[in-house]
Amino acid sequence: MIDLFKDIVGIKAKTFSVKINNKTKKYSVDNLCMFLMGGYANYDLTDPNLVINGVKKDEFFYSLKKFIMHYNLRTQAFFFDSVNMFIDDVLNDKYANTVQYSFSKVTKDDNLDDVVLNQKLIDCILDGMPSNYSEAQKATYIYIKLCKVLSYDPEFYASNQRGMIARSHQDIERLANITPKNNQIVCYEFTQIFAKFLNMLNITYVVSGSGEYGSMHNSLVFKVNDFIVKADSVSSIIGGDLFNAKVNKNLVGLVCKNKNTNTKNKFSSIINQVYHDIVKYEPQTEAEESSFENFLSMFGDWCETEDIDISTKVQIFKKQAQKVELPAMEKISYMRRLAKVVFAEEKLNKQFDVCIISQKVISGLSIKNMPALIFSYCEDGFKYNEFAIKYKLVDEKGNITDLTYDEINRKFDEGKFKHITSGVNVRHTIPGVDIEEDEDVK
Amino acid sequence: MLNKLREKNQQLLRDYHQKKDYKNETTQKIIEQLLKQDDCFLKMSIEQAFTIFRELNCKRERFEEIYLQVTKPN
Repeated sequence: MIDLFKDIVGIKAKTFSVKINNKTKKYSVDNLCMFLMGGYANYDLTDPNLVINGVKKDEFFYSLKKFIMHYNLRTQAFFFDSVNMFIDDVLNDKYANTVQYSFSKVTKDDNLDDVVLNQKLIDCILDGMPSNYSEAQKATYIYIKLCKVLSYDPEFYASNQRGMIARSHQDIERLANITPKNNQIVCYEFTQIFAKFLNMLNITYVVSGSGEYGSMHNSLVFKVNDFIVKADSVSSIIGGDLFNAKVNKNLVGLVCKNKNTNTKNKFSSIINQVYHDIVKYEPQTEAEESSFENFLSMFGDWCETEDIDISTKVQIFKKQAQKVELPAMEKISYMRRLAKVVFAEEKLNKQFDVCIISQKVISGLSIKNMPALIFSYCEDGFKYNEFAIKYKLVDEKGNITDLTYDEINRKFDEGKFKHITSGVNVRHTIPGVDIEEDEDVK
Repeated sequence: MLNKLREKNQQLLRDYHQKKDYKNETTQKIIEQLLKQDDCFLKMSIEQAFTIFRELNCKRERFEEIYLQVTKPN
């Protein structure tokens, strides 16, 4: 049977060699084929300490994956049903954690030598870190603390990541001046700061994205213990971890890239434990999130929902927007989130919408771009009476002012308002206002 | 404030259970599940939030104040 299999898939060699951690391992091709064709059933593949043919399970499965890919067995063995299913499981790391063997052995970071961190920032970030933490816990702790302390530069965001402000962030020496007080950064600065901390911990990482420093979005992937983790605090500017960590919401930018479910779960527990240590808060699992939605829907069916008039809602929103203290960018994110729950009913009925724009503001003797929100509300619904739409401008400080349709148009014409097009997936629009975009803005 | 609401809910849950008022007990059980999450009030509409306050017998004139407290970032 093995000979038939080998003939069909075209394997002539007697041995197969794989390089793991700079050592070459040699396997008998017959043994590998035998294992694939049902030999695996003789082992308890769920046992983390399993040894197969004298090799640790993770290493063996890494070699097996290489073997499958080398001979393209996924395509070649399509008529052996059971083998094919097992091959899929092996490639998806169902039984073992193999990603760590393919991860770079050395750090890849062109800018590491140029990065100098301010001692005040280092002290603040490492303050309170338990000394008995594992390396993975330390890296997670530093990531969360950095997200709590650093803030995305609102001017950079509102300037569509261009102009003077963009150039100032491209100077890598600027990082030496980043402190808990002077804390405004952009994505690639966060990556380099976090990278420097990982380097201090002797953790191997690879900075993604090519090109000159500051020319494009970047993030990094690091290997710690058996985990391969992607860290991108600005996976979204508005809903990324610079915001999430400050309001103790689930993180979205620290992602375990291992395919193996056990390994993924282990890393989730580390995030939960460290997050809890920092803020005494338990992040929700996906299952809890979905059961929350179910309970919310059940609650809606079970109880008669309260009615709240729009003027009361506006008052509540106004009070909270002025009261809450957050850095500018996070405040915009928070107010957008609050608006979505306060005006959820109206949004559902297409009576309310919120749009982020950039507005020019006077700061001392200079003029700079800052993000702001424009609320649009129409009692009859946007579709039915766009002449009755009311607009409000909410600035980054939480101040709310009325706007008319003409004022909005004039401000866009004069360049005092601009749409933010950089770093957004969906084009922002203001109901009833059709503004032509700058052709050169991407 | 969220903890106070959770305590209030537990108290009501016990009371309704003792009185064998199963309809209200069910309501409080659903609310118990919703209040488990620290940012629950930023995941539901203000109408749903006010309904929870009503079911927890909060005074109507305090709804707004409570809402501002429970939607404040931690």
